[in-house]
Amino acid sequence: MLAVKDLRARYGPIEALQGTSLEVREGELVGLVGHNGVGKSTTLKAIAGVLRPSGGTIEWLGAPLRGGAAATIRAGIAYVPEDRRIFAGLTVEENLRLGATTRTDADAVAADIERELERFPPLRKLLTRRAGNLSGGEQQMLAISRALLSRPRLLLLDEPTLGLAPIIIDTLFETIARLRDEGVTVLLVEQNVAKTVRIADRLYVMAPGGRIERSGPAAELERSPEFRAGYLSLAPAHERKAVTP
Amino acid sequence: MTDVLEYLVAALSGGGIYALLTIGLALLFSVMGLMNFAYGELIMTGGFAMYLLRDAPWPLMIVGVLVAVVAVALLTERLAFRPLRGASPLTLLIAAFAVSIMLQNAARMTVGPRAKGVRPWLEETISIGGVGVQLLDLVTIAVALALIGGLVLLLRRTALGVQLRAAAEDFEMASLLGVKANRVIASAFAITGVLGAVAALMLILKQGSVSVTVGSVPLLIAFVGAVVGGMGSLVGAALGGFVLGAVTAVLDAALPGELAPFRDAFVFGLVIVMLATRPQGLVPAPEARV
Amino acid sequence: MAAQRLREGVWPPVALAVAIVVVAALAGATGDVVIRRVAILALINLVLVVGLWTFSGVTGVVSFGHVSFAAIGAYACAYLTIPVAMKRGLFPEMPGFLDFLLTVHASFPVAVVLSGLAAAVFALVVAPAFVRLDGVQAGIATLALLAVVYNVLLNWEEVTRGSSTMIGVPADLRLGTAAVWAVAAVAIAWLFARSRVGLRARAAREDGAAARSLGLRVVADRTVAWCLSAFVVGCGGALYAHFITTFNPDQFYLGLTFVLLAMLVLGGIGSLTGAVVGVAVYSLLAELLRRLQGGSWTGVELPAGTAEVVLAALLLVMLIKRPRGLTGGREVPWPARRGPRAAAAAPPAPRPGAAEGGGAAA
Repeated sequence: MLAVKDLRARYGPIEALQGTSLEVREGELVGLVGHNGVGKSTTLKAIAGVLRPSGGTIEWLGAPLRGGAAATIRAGIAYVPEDRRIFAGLTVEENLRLGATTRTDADAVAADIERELERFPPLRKLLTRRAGNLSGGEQQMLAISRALLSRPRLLLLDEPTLGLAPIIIDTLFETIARLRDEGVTVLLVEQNVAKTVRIADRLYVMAPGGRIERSGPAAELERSPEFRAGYLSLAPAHERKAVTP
Repeated sequence: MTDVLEYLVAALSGGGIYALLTIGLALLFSVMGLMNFAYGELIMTGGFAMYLLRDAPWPLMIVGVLVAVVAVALLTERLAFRPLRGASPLTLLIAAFAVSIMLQNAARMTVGPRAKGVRPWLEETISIGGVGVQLLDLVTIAVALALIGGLVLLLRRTALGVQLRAAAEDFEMASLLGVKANRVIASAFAITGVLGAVAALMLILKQGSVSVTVGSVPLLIAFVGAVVGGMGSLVGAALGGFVLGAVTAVLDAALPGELAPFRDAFVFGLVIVMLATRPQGLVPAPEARV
Repeated sequence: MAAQRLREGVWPPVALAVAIVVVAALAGATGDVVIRRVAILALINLVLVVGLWTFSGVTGVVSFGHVSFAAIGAYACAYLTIPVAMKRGLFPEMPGFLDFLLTVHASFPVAVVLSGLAAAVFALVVAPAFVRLDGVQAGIATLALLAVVYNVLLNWEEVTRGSSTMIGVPADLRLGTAAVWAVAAVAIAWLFARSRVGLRARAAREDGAAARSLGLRVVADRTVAWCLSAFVVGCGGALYAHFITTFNPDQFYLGLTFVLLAMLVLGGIGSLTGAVVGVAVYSLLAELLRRLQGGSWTGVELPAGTAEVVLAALLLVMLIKRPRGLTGGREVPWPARRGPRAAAAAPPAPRPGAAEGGGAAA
């Protein structure tokens, strides 16, 4: 579905991505993990159209991905940035409706909003509340729902669990896994490797400069000793501890 | 007692006009970081439209003024500010300065440098509770209220309004969701144009004449109001503009002859103090834009 | 190493100074009165712009209010150089505590320096309100300063003659004198920019957030820049007074502010060379446009205001196409060495079409 080949991107004189390649197949939940600052967010930004790459190609559904963020949404890719960026001054409902900006089928939008409220029940009674007054977890739910309102085929999630309480983190991971079960393809950037590896189908491990250090089916990686040593604790497979590197 | 009522009416009508102006300024600032120094020239355009249409029937003149001002506003957006989208607020301020000079001189070249009289209207004084009140002031208050009410409705009830508010808060995120930048910004300019046109009508009818520099003082007062109220927040701006317009109107009426000419110095001294002590204004915006 | 330091540290101001002197000499050599006046005006503008650059170019904080310092300089110089005998007639209602203004007198050079100092003292007094501000806030605050000074000058009629023109200022500004002051301004600006204070201020310019965390240092450095620039601009104002000989507050308000900013932006606010280049190019263009407007070439007279429209349009185009100005913030390069310059990599921008928010046609 999505094929990124040899992507390059710069922030001024700094080469953040020096040739990143990965792919996401339909129906998968692909995890992109790595230490801080290696280029995971930058990769998502380039795919989402926020950032202009300086080299390489991004192919979506067989054709090169062109245009800015709005075109990317219309093409079926939704992006939930780091720090959520919900509109604090608008209500929850207004935020949700904004997610459907590029859609033209007004009636279906109402049905979709209803579906999101089922997915995240706490949002129902917050519909008319000012989004800035929501808790971190609620804002994250809102951000994801807003992205889903554009009926995307691919969802890009940038560190959704950052700054959230452990209980909420667990629920969130479950919800993301369920999204994949419902048929939404997901590319998930996370620092919480242990939990990511449990819900993902495949995993990419990124190193500084955006290089993919290793990749493969999540189950395989989870069992591999070097992977566990580098990214999980040294405990044997049957004694996994959630460790954030 | 009669004085109080007079001052009250003057304050409300002066405040109303300036609230309209500062809302326009604040809207442009929150959506694209532009402190539109050329705003005064929108008033000038309205004034000259009033002069050129002075012999036309009233409805036609009002429509003519609206069309002229909105057209000029959209034109400046398209030619000057769209190419500069994303530039720093300071660059935009300098650019607005340039646009202001261009518009002023264009007017000087076409309509002429001398002040022109406009046909008076609504001059009659009516009596309320035994006090003489200018009909124009009452109409101004009513119109200002209606317009602000209309704007609130637009912002809260329409899809465009939601998009505007979203763009005003986080322009980048709004575009990420597909909100069309061009449409939003053009609408903001158009709204600014309508507000400016109405303000021009009210202000110039009160003054009785229009000249190339007619917009300078209202602009500066609107600027001050926006800064004092909080540039990024529409509510703050309205508040700041209202307070300042009201204070200015009352000072005009009440200052002893000695100090009256120094009114502007006091007003601008206020803005300096405000910026030095509370740069974010009375009502800070959700995200401060410097 | 020393040679390079010499090239970077000494060559630009020397080159600029030589250029100024040469151009002034050429203008004088033509014997044409009009050309001479244009040159003197350009040199005065150079002092003003260089003075403005000393603050805005070095600290990165754009000031819309420096013309108020020029105004103070002009009025101070007027008080100091109008013949004493004339003054009582000009200021019949001068308040008692300012009586000394009626009796003081100084020679031209001394008067200019004293006027600059007057502006600098004023700047020092008001500095605390301005030196902590950045960006748009600073722009608006300094604009307010301009408005306050303008308003006071216009309305304190007993002292300033209000909107009636100030007259009696001797017309003794020669081309050579103007050139000397211009070179002096360039020297002061350069020495400041290369001084410890100046270098710190320039470093702070690059990284606003980090600079703010340094707190007091930045404020102190900026205050120095503020006052020094006020001095130079004040001297410029004094020179201007001696050039036009009659003036009122309108000469020192938005019109002049715009011209100075336009020159600075045109040349490039980042470098002293930019300031000088901006003055030169703008002055040349303005004069050409004035002749065109007056019909001396085409025989057709264009309406008043044409020149201003063109110049403002030019500034706008400059802001759009080359916001860093003609020099791009670089100083006069040493002619011999022309090494490769590392192209500044563009900051990340949205993909083509992203700015429109519309992307591919719907």
